[in-house]
Amino acid sequence: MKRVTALGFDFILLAAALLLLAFGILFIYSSGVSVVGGRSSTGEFLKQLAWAGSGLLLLVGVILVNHARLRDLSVYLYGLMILLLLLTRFVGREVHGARSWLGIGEFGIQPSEFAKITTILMLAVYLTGIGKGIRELPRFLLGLAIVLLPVGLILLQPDMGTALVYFPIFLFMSFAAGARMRHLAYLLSAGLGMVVLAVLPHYSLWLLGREAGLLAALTGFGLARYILAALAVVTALSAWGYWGFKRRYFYWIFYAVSLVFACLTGAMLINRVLKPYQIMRFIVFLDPQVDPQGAGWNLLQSVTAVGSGGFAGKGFLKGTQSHYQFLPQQSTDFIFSILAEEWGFLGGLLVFALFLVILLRGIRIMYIARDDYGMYVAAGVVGMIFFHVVINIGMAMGIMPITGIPLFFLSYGGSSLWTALIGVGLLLDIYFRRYGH
Amino acid sequence: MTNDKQRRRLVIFLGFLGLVVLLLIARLAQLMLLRSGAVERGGITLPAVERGPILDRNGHVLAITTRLYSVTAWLPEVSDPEGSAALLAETLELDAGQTARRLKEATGFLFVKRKVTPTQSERVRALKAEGRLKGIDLVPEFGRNYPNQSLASHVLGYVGLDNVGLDGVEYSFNEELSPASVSRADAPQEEIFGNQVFLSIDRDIQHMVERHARQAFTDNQADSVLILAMEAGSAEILGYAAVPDFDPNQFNSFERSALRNLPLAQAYEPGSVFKIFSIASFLQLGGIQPEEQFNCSGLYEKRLADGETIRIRDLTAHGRVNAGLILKYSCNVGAAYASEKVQREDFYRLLQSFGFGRPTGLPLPGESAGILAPPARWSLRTKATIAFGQEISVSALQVMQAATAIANGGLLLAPRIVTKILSPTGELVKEFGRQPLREVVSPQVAREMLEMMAAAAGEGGTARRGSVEGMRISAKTGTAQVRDPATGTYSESNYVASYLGIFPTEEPRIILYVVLHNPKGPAYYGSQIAAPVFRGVAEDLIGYLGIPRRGDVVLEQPGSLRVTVPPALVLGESMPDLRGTPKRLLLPLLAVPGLEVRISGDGFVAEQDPPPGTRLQAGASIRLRLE
Repeated sequence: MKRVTALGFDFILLAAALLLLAFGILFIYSSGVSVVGGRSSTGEFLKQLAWAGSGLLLLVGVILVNHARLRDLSVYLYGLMILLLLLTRFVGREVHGARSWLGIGEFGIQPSEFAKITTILMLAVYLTGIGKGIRELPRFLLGLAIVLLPVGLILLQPDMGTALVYFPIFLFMSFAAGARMRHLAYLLSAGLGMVVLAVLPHYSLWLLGREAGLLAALTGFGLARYILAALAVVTALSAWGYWGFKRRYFYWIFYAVSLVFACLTGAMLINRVLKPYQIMRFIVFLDPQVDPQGAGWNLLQSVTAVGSGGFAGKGFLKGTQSHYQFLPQQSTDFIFSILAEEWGFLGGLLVFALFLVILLRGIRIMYIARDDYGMYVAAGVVGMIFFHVVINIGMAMGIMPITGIPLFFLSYGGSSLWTALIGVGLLLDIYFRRYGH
Repeated sequence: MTNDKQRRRLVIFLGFLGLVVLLLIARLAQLMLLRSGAVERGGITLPAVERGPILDRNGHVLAITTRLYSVTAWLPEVSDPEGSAALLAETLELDAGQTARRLKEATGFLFVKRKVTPTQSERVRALKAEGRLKGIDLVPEFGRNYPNQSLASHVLGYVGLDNVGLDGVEYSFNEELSPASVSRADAPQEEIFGNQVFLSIDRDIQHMVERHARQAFTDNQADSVLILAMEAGSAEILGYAAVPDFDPNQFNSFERSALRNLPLAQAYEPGSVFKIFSIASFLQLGGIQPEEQFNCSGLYEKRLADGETIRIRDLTAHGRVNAGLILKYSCNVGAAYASEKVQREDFYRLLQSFGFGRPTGLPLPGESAGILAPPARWSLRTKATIAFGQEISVSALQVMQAATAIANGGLLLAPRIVTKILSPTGELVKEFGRQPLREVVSPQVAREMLEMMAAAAGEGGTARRGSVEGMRISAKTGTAQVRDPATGTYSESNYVASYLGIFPTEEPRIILYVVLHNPKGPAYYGSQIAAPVFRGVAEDLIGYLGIPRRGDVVLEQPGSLRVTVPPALVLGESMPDLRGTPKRLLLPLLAVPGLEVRISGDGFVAEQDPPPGTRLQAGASIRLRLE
């Protein structure tokens, strides 16, 4: 018997999400107000209202479908979304240099957003199926492969920022499933190492005007080839040693050396693939003054906007940074900057608090979920929201590099809003059905 | 998985979450609470680059940087917005209500008014000294001033409010005039000085050609008048007039059409002036000989293989004409017959060699390449019509460049307008020397062309109205109908009248080109309206440059001069007769206390006010106009 009572419903979670949604619409309106026209010049907030309405219907729809049913559908949804991503790669609409939109006429969606949800569902099915098997390396890697498939397709668009979000989803879910810390640590350090090694040589070139000695040795193509070859040999030897003698220290040698090897090759690949402007984003993150009028502009303007808000802000629609159009992408990537400018420190804290409520309720739902599947899905949704919030707000405040990841609930854009609302719908559904069928 | 382990993971995760949230809050607080009070006062830093001057070939200033002040407000310190607004509005001639509204609505930094006059900034400074304008500041900003107003405006271009070159030399040499300053927040702001750009333009010649162009513009009610003067041997442009022009000090108040740099941006069919280059091509290619004759019955007819006949009509029948007479009478039929003697590919290649169909590379933005279609797209008429300047579009600058080949024994030179760049301290940074491109025609053909063109400017030639007493001039007129884009046919009322001259014929020193677009007076022929303009400019130029003419009186002078030193100027009770006094001797006047002396112009006193003999009182003002 289903217990459909008011008590079975997480109103706090829903209220937090709805409040954020309302703030978003307010500040999308504000972002459209330019000093020239006075009135909101773009119809973005009206469109966002439409997206919010339809998104809430989707949320209700998700609650009505039992997530146990969803579990059976997960594989098909995952497959469908992979097909859509493929389709997007070839017939998608190109916006800002990335072919990530699929749409008819004026309405378009970004399959890379929705694919986050389907990937979460698919991974949850996989984790439920293997149980504690996630502790074994091959099964851990197979789980990673489920995530890497959409990531690869999204990187081809190319949309690096969106692709990045999939890694924390995987980390959170496998962490919740009990994956080994050393596997997770390996993945995390490899990712960080790649980015650092890829960007540092450019950074030293830009800032010091010369190549730094050691870095050049590590990343320059001349010497790097030999270093890589040597590392590959040591990696192979240690692997052979571990299989041959089953000695523990071979395992750790392999672990460390292959990590360095992965970082270096990854960094070289990134340097091949990354466009100069993407590398510039990392460099201006480290020091925006390198190019204050160009690549550093967004970051400086955003930090200025946030900083100019003060304790209580300038008041709604009174921000100057946004209304003089200093901020690019102000309704999408930098919506938090407008909010902080106009509502000040208090407004910023309020937004933090609301997101914290959503995350904590999500974690609570994880732990009272009736089944493992629900728990994993909740973990994925929490991880996704968490990463989005930290990266986007961090970017607006100049402590994260600019990646173009939207702020869930607040940023203008139908796909990300729908994704967020579907995510919340999933959490509500899992909570709602925590006692039985 | 044990419950214990699960709990441990929960704790790890919550710890991580808490850490990240704390970090975000700390950053938010740092940005919004700590920094907001310490945001740099004034809010902005302006680039401290003093843009270098633009000078003419003799070092006269054509564009210079001034330092003007901008009035700014830092609102946290403005204690009395109403009172300050009233004071500022009065001083700066602003609307009082609007100023008050702006001061009250703004929250941080505000420009009250940018680049105010020195008098206004002085008054603001005085008010501030009285302590009446709290929070109001004066920030020095560099402005750009063009002391000769519209003189050479199309060459100079103009700059935007932030002193970035937007057109002309200001645009193309922006980097040299205003080197980018590497402004680092932590580095002290050093003032950087830009380089000095020297033009080949001569200020006086520029003034001369502009005066004539403006006169021709009003006389003929033309759409535009272009006059270009070039030193033949070096291809340095001495004068570059295009009317309508504009004042770069306030370029915003002019129509877009006045800003267009027509001599290089506008492509038009040159008409008969082009016969210079087509006949030169035919001679160079060996297709015709100078004495070879063609029969001009007033109609060119060519029967084609398919039975169709091409017809080109002329005004009158010129009888039997050779190359020289084709130029002299501007005979289209003769030119068309002459064109039959060369292959279209050869003709095309030689025209390309003259520089047609591609920009000359003069360092000014917006240059047109003109239109010279490749021979594969020529119709059966094209070769014949190009011979007299139709079905080809050129810019005035391309015509000037092509003429350098005729003037320099066949050697084509790249036209130049910027001659050198000096550093702020006067060291040579870059020099743009004479730039020979290629030999287009042989020296013999070039000489023959000059002689034939001299005949055209002589008795009975179409270019005779441009001739100058006592000097041989090689010239050619042109009257081209303008193609009407609506109908695709030639307009009956819209003409381009032009006149190209090279002089002296014996040893060319000047190339001068006059173009009138769409003159609406009673006459429209180049020989009738462009020629007199040419003559006027040429006579002024010859006088200014001292090119000797036949019949000139050459003064014999003794080897030594007696110089009489005029007595020092003493000012008595009444006004002396200062007429004829050189400027240098007027200096003591300026030292007399209680006397306001205004001197305008250069040279010698021509007029004075008050007249001689007037009693001078203390505080009197004297006006002197010099010539």
